[in-house]
Amino acid sequence: MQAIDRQTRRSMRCGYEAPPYPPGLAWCHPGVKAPPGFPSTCVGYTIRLPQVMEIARARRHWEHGQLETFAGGPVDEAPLLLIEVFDAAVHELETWLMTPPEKRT
Amino acid sequence: MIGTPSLLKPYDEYYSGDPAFAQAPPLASREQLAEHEHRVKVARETGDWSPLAVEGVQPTKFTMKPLRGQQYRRIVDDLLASRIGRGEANSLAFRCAVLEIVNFGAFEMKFVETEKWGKIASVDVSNAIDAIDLRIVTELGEEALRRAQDISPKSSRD
Repeated sequence: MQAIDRQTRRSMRCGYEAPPYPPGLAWCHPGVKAPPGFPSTCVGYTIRLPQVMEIARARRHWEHGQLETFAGGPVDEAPLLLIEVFDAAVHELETWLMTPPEKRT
Repeated sequence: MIGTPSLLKPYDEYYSGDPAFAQAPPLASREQLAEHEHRVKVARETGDWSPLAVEGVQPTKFTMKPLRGQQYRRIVDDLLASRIGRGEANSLAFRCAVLEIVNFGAFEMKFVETEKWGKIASVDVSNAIDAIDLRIVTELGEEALRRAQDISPKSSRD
């Protein structure tokens, strides 16, 4: 990250750089149908956030019915919703990958 | 053991005005204040407070647990119905979330069992912290509420 100059990082909406950012959005994978205004922050920053990594890990356990074991107790609805959102995004990307390149939208 | 920010498990939290962390310069401009606030936000999101650390000073560490949905909704309901004010809402959120306080002198955590909120920190705990600085409970309580309500930090906050 430090090898990239500050102006470029700002245009990528690096989370370490303070807003206001230049107009536009952060990069988004072409296989994801992002809602308006999303993503607001560089994915490189976002995927390294502990809470994002935690939800990605939690999904692995959720898939096998072991979420409560992973969490050490009952899980509230807010993290469950995030796991479902994450799971939907993963399936969206998998569908994109399985789609022949000429048919990808 | 460092407790990184978590939605499922206890995590470590700090007060941004702790003398162990760099502060915005006196008479800071609007830009400098915004820059400092952003550095605090990044520290809170990443759990890495080292860029703000003042050498040789240990911060007070608050181990917190995520608010349960039921606690959050009850606080919001009480707030909207004007049964409590914003200050008390923050204090309640703090008491519901805090589990342990480290490096706060000869201080002992006390918990009470309540019908409405479950087992939460005693009001003596928030009073002891208020005696140092009222902003500590306000900031940490606000943060506990924000974590409970803002389930998508990178899409709605910025």
